[in-house]
Amino acid sequence: MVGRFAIVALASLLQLPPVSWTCPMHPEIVEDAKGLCPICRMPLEAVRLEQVWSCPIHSVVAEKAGGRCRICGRDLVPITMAMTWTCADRPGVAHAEPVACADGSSPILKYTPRPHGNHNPQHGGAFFMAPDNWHHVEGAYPRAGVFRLYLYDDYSRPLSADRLRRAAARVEAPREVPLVARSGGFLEARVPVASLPAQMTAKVRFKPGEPEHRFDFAFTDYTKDTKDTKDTTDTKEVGASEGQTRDVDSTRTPRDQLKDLARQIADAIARRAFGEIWVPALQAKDVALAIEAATTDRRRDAVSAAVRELVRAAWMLDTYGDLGNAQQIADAHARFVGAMKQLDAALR
Amino acid sequence: MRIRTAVPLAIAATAMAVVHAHKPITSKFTYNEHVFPIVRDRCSRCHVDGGVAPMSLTTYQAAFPWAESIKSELLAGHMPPTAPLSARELDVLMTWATGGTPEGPAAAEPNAVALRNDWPLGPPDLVVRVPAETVLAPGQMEETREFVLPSEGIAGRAIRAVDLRPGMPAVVRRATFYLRRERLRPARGERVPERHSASERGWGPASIGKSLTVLAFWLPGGETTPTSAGTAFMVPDDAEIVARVTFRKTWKYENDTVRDRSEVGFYFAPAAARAVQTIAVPRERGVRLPSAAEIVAVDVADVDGELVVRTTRPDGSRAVLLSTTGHREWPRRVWLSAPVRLPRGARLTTAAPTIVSIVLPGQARDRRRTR
Repeated sequence: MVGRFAIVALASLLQLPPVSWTCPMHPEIVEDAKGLCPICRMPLEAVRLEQVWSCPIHSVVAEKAGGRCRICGRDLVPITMAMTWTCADRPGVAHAEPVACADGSSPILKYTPRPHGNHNPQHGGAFFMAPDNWHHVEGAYPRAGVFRLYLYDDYSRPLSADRLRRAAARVEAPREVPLVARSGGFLEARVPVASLPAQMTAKVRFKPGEPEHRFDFAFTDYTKDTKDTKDTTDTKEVGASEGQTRDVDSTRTPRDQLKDLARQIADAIARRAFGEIWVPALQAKDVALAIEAATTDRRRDAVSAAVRELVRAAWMLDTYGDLGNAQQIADAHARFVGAMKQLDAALR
Repeated sequence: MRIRTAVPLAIAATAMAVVHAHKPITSKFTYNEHVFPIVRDRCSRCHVDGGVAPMSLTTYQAAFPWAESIKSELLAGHMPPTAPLSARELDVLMTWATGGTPEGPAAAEPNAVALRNDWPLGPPDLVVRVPAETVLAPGQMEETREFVLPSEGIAGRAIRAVDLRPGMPAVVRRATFYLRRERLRPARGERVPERHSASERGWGPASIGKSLTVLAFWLPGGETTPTSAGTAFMVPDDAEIVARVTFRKTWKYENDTVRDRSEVGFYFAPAAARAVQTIAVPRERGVRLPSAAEIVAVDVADVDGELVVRTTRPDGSRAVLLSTTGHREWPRRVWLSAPVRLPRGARLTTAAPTIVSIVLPGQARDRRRTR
């Protein structure tokens, strides 16, 4: 299962991530202790999971810090990979620790992709995980009237042409148009949308007989496909959006922090930046839990009821933000707003 | 799910905040240390070997494969069907289920949990077995039966609680205990049983308070809550005491023959107790109280989703009496932490029909009807 890998100088490793245990047949199984795979009962193997920075198109690149791809100069994006060490004389044997090689050579560090280790768009579009927890999709709007949908597996690898053809997909923009498999490895449709910003909803059934999943996209600009262009000087940074890097001002009161976070959530939803919602949503529920813990007077029961609602709504926003379904997100946001009002009233 | 730190306030300032990955362990809560105590206290009456739920959650090995399902049920507000989890309990379970489901230190491994099939309120004053055995043949997954219980020893008494002890806990899904009275039909002058609006899934309000009085709902794992001190449901001498029991198999028993003959336990109150009555609150138009009353409980029995019951006093002031979520599969009665006194003319409204239990203040006791 070792796929593409990169070789990094061992000397650059100062601290190793902790050991996790994974199944050789079911890589989605990751435990913190040795044991048997709960699915196939095979012994779990040790692995160290590490965040590295990789190129959107040159996956052999694995750097310890962000920067530019040393091959093409594109911005690197963060992904999760498994670290193992091999020896030159036995490259098929992987170890979770740097080992002493029989031939006296230094062990070679390999970075192996992990399922769901890469949720970065590969074509400059908007990337979502499907509710089946296996597929991923990326929507792109490369030019006026053209919508593209890229389909990926659990490793964010493009689906084969055969599997692409088996998918039944359509796009609402707002009229519904079928998406047709193209030779470039994507589904495409001509959509009756001419101007920006453009909102579109893709509905995809990955296999016949499976449920149809909905993904809502919003494009404020035409998508620049990083695989199509050599010019990376103005390529938008992928993965590190404004919403995700915003911090909470800890000098403000918890109620004010909560209001700030509520605004960040509303802002992300308004921009249809669904992948950003989870950060302020989970921060908000932590602040709300802190407010509840600090409330010991007669308001406690009412505050607890409101915080319970808010925590549930925050987890909904987190979950549905992953899936990119605008209706579910709107419903969860309405619940969140209601819980905020309830909490305000309880604290008065 | 993505790689997350423990989501401190400074999370977004770290590079980790932009990393996306699924399974690596990011939960600061482990099963042994944090999840198990919640499961033991809030879920294990059903989610235990031999319980009515199709899976146990009382060991790590049993629980972690259900993490996705746990997440879905919690988000939907379906579980637990009785009292909702606290915010912290919900957060612990969600963090664990989405954060790699870590087991935690072996030293903290919890003790085994056994199925409880007892009387949580202690031995009842009177135990009655339902009059007939229920048999679910292979392939028969569900059945609802009404049993008229022998009234000897119950008629004329004041009841503060009714509970049920299943014969086969794995298949007894829910029960409702109610009083049914016959009424005189003037046109013909013959006595006929009042038709009631109970459906398979819940109780319509039409006849509640007229000829039907729900004494209690029973759910596996639900807490049996007695009436508040000094109050009780009065059982008229001419009332039938009915147990309506729903049996349902899980897939584990799909091809088996299962049998049940449950026991019903009655807890009596002193004869001098104030009578608890039930009144129906129809959807939208609500109900106006014809006299001052203390609201003591609200039934969450005929609603899927939100139930908000509001009060409007004659002076126009409004308040929320109860805000909760319900599931028709799991009808329950919510006893208020303290009675809410409302004056005559106060209005109760709700977007979903419900039944409230009331006590009339200063109500005269009719000692002739109780003993």
